[in-house]
Amino acid sequence: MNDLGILVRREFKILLVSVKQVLAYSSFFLLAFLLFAFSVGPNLKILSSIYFPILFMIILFSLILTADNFIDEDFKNGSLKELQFLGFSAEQIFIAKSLSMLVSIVLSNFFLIPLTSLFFGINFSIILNIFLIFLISSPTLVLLSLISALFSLQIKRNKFIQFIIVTPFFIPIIIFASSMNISDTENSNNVNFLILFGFFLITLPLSIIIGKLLIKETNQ
Amino acid sequence: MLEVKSIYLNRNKKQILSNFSLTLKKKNMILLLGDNGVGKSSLLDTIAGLIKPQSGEIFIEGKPLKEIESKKKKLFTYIPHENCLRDNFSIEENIKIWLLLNSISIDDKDIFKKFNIFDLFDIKDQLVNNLSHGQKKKVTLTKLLFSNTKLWIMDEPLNGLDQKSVKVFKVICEKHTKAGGAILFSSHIDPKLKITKKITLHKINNIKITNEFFNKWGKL
Repeated sequence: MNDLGILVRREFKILLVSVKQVLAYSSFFLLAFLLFAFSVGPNLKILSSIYFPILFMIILFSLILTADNFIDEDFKNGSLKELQFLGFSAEQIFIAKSLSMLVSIVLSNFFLIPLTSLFFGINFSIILNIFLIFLISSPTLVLLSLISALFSLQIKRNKFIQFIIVTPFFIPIIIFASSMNISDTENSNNVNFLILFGFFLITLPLSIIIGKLLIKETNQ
Repeated sequence: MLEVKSIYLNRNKKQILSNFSLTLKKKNMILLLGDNGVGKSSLLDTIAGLIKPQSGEIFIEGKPLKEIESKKKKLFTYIPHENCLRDNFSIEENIKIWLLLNSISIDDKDIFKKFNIFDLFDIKDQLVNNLSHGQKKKVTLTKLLFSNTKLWIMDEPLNGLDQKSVKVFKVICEKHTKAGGAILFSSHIDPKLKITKKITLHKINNIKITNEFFNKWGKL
């Protein structure tokens, strides 16, 4: 098995045992949705019209809050250091962590999106479209939130600066994802799909390079 | 086996190593002695390739460290002062993850046999979170028993170990050196083992502990 395969296997083993990560994400996600539903009131027309932007905002904040769990323990117990002196490159470590985070987020949302759409009176037929838009934008969001988690290690756990540095990079994804017409993704929104995929292609190499530098910096 | 040539190392804008050299040959054991903060861990991290020195070179088995970056795990085993264990995993799971990362395949029976050496067999299913500091250290040192490498580098391996475990550690080290291996380890106290060479590290511009030094404190 190659080095990346070994790392991915390790990350998935950790993911299987650490239910904490998935629970933290899911509970924050559900709680935030419930609060929104209660604050807007019982008007389903208003609720369904704001569902999509709210969904992406909550996904974004849940990701930022849970990304720490994927980095923090490895950093504190020295495993991040161990992986590096065992010869695994920082790029491989970053990719493996991104993959495990992506899987945990996609799997959680597979259940959470249909569940929350019920609170907001969303037609069940368009849930697949919502999930499709989430699928295309989530890799970029995961990469950015992992970078933000690594930044928080660098700046001595000051979450405020973490938000300021990384949050602006989330904005274009949120704009293009939430502006899509969820009832008709096949025809009118192809451009937005391509733009979101383009963002991923730009973010992937950049985040791998930045992630590598930040992981290396943790040894200093 | 290991050669460190004229290392100059700065940490936090302070020079901690100046023109430091070391040669470790087969069947030899070198102890790095020194007070807290003199740079023992930094030196070992540098040898493991985690920190880049300002100048100087490190050779392992005659090859420069830069050239063996991805093959490090086949040439030496490094046990840092952190335990590198995941709290929510059992002892067995942690060791199996370490074996996976080192690409070592071994039967469960053999794994359990080696657990007996540090009296870990009966608690192999316990979560690391529930172990004492000394027990965690034993789990970390158990990794050496599975190692296939000739060169072992350890940072404060005796910290928190009980008398019996220190004796076990002594036997393991003696067996390893007799079999042609070499060991470099650090400690802040002299463990009184059969050491080939002791290297005492001092702080650069260290304050000498004299009567005048204590008089400066005044009345406590």
